[in-house]
Amino acid sequence: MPLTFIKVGQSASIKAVLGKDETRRFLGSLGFTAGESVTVVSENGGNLILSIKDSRIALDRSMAQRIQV
Amino acid sequence: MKIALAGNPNSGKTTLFNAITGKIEHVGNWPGVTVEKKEGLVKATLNPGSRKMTIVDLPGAYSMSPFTNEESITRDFVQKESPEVIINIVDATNLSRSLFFTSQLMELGIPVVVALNKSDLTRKKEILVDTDLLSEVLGCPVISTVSTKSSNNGLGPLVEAVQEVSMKKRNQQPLRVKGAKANATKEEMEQIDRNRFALVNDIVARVERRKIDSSNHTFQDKMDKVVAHKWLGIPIFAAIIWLVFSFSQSWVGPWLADILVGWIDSFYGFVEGVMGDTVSPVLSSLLLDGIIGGVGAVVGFLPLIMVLFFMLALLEDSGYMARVALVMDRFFKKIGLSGKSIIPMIVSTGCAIPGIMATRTIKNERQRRTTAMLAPFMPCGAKLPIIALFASVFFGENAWVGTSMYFLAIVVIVISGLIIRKITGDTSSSYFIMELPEYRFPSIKRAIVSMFSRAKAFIIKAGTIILICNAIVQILQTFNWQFQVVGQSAPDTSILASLASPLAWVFIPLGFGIWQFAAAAITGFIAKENVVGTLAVTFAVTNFIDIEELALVAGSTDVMTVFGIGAVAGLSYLVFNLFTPPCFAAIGSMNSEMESPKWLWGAIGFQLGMGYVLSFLVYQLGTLFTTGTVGAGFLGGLIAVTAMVGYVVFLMSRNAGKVLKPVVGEVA
Repeated sequence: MPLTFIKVGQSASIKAVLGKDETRRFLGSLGFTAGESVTVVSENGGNLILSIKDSRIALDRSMAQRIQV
Repeated sequence: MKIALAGNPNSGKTTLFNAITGKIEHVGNWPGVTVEKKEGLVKATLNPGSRKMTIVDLPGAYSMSPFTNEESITRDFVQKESPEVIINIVDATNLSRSLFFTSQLMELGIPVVVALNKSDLTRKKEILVDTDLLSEVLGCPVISTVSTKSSNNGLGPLVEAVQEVSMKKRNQQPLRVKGAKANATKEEMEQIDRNRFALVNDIVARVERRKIDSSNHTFQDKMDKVVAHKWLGIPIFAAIIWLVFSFSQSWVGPWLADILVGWIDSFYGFVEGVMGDTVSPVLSSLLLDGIIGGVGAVVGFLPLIMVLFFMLALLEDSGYMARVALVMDRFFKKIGLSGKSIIPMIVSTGCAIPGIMATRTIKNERQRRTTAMLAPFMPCGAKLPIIALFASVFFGENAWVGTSMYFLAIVVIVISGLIIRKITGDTSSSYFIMELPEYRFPSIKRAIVSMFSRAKAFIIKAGTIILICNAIVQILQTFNWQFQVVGQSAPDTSILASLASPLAWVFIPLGFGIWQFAAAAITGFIAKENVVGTLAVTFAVTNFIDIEELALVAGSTDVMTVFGIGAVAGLSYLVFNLFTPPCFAAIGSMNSEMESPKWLWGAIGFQLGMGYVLSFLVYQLGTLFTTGTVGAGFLGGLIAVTAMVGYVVFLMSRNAGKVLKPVVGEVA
């Protein structure tokens, strides 16, 4: 299911990242790769703040939907 | 010897660069401040040897495969210019991501030295990093650094390590990433990336001990919940901007400016006394009223600008600006831009030129050009004197004038963004991904350094271009076309008056059809500081800071009488100067970033039209509300404004029936 289904405060393990090669690889270089654990820290008006690889990343909804957990 | 500084965005490369070279490049606590490579020499105190060491600061990159424009600059540099050593700056609190890039750098065959930066934060976060083991595993020197500290910051050992690895002829061995090879296919690349992360995770597990899981909810996250809140975010941003303007324009700024203006006045008196009657009146008035008076009027605002830059530097250092991008992303999406476009606009609050340059981080061409076109609408430091002058003359030094101009700028940007999206017919939307830097207590020292470097630039500008412009204005208003000195009784016969008067006609519907204002608006296109300078010269007033004193100088009971316009027209003039094209220098950078004459001229035309229409609305509506009738020149202005709006509507309608391009994603 897409990451947007995960409740605030919960963690999940990434299964796959969908989308164009380039976008997927950019997300990959930030740490969004299969097997990594991601936590939804908060949600602000549609944008998510995630914790991945010891940093906080803000991501919009359409991007978050590409991340399958 | 050439050394490259490479690392993830916001790992502190430019801060380290400044500390190592003694330069003052712009830094900020958000990813993507640096968009161009910058060079400098290692300070002599750090480099006792005779060999010169050139350090090149590169824009931040998460990986060697370029996804963003900054990353391409970085990759091209390390691959093509083959530096002798790469200093890889690694954020000590984020090894698990940073080492991904490190492992890629090590595959280039160039010796790498790792600077484990922000190592002061590891203690605070209770992270233990075994640097010796890390160095052993990576096979390259690892030096702990704290580039924000001025001493004992690890930079000495870092430079030593760089010199050491450059002497050694033996190449470092790259990490063994499974399947890594030069000409991998896309599928293979992805597998390699995954293997690379697996290897990095492995290393991190060995060298790092964390007591607190980084995904735990922290105070920082609580802050984000408030400042980046859906509804609270905007009012909080407004309150902060109001505070910035209050400090610079109402509280601290004017108090300091009074002192400075006192000095300028004494200098004026001193020069006047020295010259006495020995110098011809024309020359003495050129020197006194034109140069000292005109430049002095501009320089008088220096304290306000310095306070503004100080406050902005504090904000940039705190980490708040990245949250502003997050808050504004929602609105910017609606106009076909993303939160990424916010950064250039925030930078433009200082000066539009770096703001326009910051658009380079936007990949989508239409969005990049649109942002470069709209960013100069933000009130920059050079526009501050105009705001401060008109706020104090007409609205009693109210900080709300500056704040509302700031937010009017945002509204204008949003509307303009929509218009441009319709004109271009490009509906591609963009994605928003941004690393949120940690909040930190802003450094007063860094803010002071940044403030003085901006003040220096301002003074240099005042002493060169502003001085020349004021001298020319003074000469043009002293003589008539027969090169006779214009008498006090007939100032309207001067060359300047006859040049500016026809233009003044155009401004009648805007409420300021007076040649002095027209002349000041024109010189304002050269540099916005000129507006205040030219007004000072043409109205023969020198002290714009202390309004009571100004009234005395002009021999009038109130300043509005000196200007000969009311508050509504004053506001209209302010709006006109803020929303018409910025200075020549900014137009120059628009030219280089847009790379299209069509876009450049479109932008200049659009900005002129926007300034005119807004100003017309402010004056005519304002006059209607305050007096019950429309202002002077309403009909003529209405025709002009209708023509401009009609043309824009025509341009927008051309694409109305067109099959719109599919939505193309963009990595922000």
